[in-house]
Amino acid sequence: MINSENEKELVIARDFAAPRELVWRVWNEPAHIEKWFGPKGFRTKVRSMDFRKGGKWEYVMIGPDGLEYPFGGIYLEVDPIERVVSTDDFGEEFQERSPEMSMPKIISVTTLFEDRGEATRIVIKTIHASAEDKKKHEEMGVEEGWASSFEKIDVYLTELKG
Amino acid sequence: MQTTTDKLLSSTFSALADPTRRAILARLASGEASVSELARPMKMTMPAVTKHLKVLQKAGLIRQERRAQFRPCFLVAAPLEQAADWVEQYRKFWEESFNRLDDYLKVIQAQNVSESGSNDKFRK
Repeated sequence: MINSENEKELVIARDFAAPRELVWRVWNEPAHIEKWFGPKGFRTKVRSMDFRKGGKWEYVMIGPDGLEYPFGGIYLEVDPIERVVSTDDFGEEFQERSPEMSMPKIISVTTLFEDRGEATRIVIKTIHASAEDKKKHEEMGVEEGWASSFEKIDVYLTELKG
Repeated sequence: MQTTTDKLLSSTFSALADPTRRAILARLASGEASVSELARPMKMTMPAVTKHLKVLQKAGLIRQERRAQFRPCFLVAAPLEQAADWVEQYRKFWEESFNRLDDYLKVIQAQNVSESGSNDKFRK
């Protein structure tokens, strides 16, 4: 499901029938991540994960054909059981292996964890950023500086086509 | 080998990040227009509009024809379609991960197992 509660972001959300503490851990602990992350037919290995502000993470997805698709990023914010903000950088290796599933270079992903009664809602907000934004970001060290974004692109593209 | 698709996507998304540029594209979706025709409803100066047009042109989202004096602008659909495809793939990626996460949560809740021993919290 994609919606756009904020016009500046691409938003994907889903409710899970589990308490927030558990969803947080399953989402953020390597042993759990490897059990569910990635599309059908893929396995995921967590190569490294320094789960704190400024820490680096690196995953590798392994396709049905055994090919490895590494990607990673830097945690910009880790706010336990509330939210995680991270850069998401699909490196050149990823691009080469997967020309048909090419990604815009640098992305910032905010994952929110919200109580929904007995359930937990996960909201993923994805913002695209240019290389200049990334540099600026690194210089400042904090969350400002993500100038460009997806800007409600799914809705917008549909409008254009219509 | 560096693919050009990711660069294209990046420039497409950057170009789309500005409301004025989206308005220009929306206008061009209904047919060609001159720079002054584009500038009028936006209450912008011609140089300001030209600046936005340059960004759009660089991203390959519009083309400007030389045939007439007023050099009409056209929408180029291909990069937008590529961006839409990307959004679709990205959504699919998360939907499939979500499905797997959903199954996994059911399994571990049924087992009442958790990694670091604080099981009690998650017991119903």
